[in-house]
Amino acid sequence: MLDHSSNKMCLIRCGDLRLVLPASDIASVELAEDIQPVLQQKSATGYVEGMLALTQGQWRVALLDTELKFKQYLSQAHRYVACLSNTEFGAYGLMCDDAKSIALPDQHREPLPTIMQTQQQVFNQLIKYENRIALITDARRLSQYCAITIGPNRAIAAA
Amino acid sequence: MNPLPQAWLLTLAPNIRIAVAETQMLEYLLDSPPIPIPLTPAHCSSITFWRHKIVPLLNINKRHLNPALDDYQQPYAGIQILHYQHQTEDNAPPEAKFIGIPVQTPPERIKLANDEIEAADKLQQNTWRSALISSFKHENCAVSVVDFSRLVAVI
Repeated sequence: MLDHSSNKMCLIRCGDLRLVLPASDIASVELAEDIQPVLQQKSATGYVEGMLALTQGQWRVALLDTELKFKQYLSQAHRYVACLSNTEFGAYGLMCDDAKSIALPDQHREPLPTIMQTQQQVFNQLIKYENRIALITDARRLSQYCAITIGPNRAIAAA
Repeated sequence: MNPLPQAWLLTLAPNIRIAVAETQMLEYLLDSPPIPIPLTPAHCSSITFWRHKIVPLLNINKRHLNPALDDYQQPYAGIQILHYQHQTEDNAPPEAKFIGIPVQTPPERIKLANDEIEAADKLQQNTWRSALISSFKHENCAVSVVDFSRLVAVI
């Protein structure tokens, strides 16, 4: 069970990609084997959709690579799906290898250098964590990025 | 009599060198691989760690000298860490910022005679002209003296 206190963060690892979100931005972490295969079909934007039906509704599942690009197919190599709790831009789940709660003091965070910033920034801070770089973001930014790139998903109504 | 000005030569690519003031030079890193950061501009898409700091790497070749070049596909010997002053608002005190420049040979310290140095407004390079302080010839190649606090502001 993830700690949802405000000073806790959640580290999501997917291959070499590491994302850090407020723990309260993760609704739940589910098994990838529960993705409904019958709903895996190409969306209008060319991505293969997977859906996770939970008691709260349906999460559209996406898979990101290290360049934060969406993969065209959902790989069975990843065991879990981190479901984002902010649904302003749609209900999305991100496939991952693991998701764990971490403490992240403010002084350890570094803002993305100004020279590296672009107009559409999915993350705005970096952290060196276990000798790797992790990107600090939140569910709102990530779900907006998902909605823009792979299309909106409003299927959050209770199943 | 004024002492001869000193500068450091940075080799970005074969026959492409820039010079920076001695006061901007910090440390030359031999074993510090670039770490790519997604969704960042092509001219500054990687970072490295230096003294527990996250330092962006500036790809001057790609952005300013030859868009066809890709720095990190070329062999480079190391990363030169530089520092510069950055002022975000008119009345705000300037902040010390750090930047890394991938280079193909270790930096070389040189002394310049005053009559070797040309004012920047005589230079023909346009994209980053406002970041250039002056120019001189070294070993038959034109070398631009770059002010990184200006360069970062204009790119």
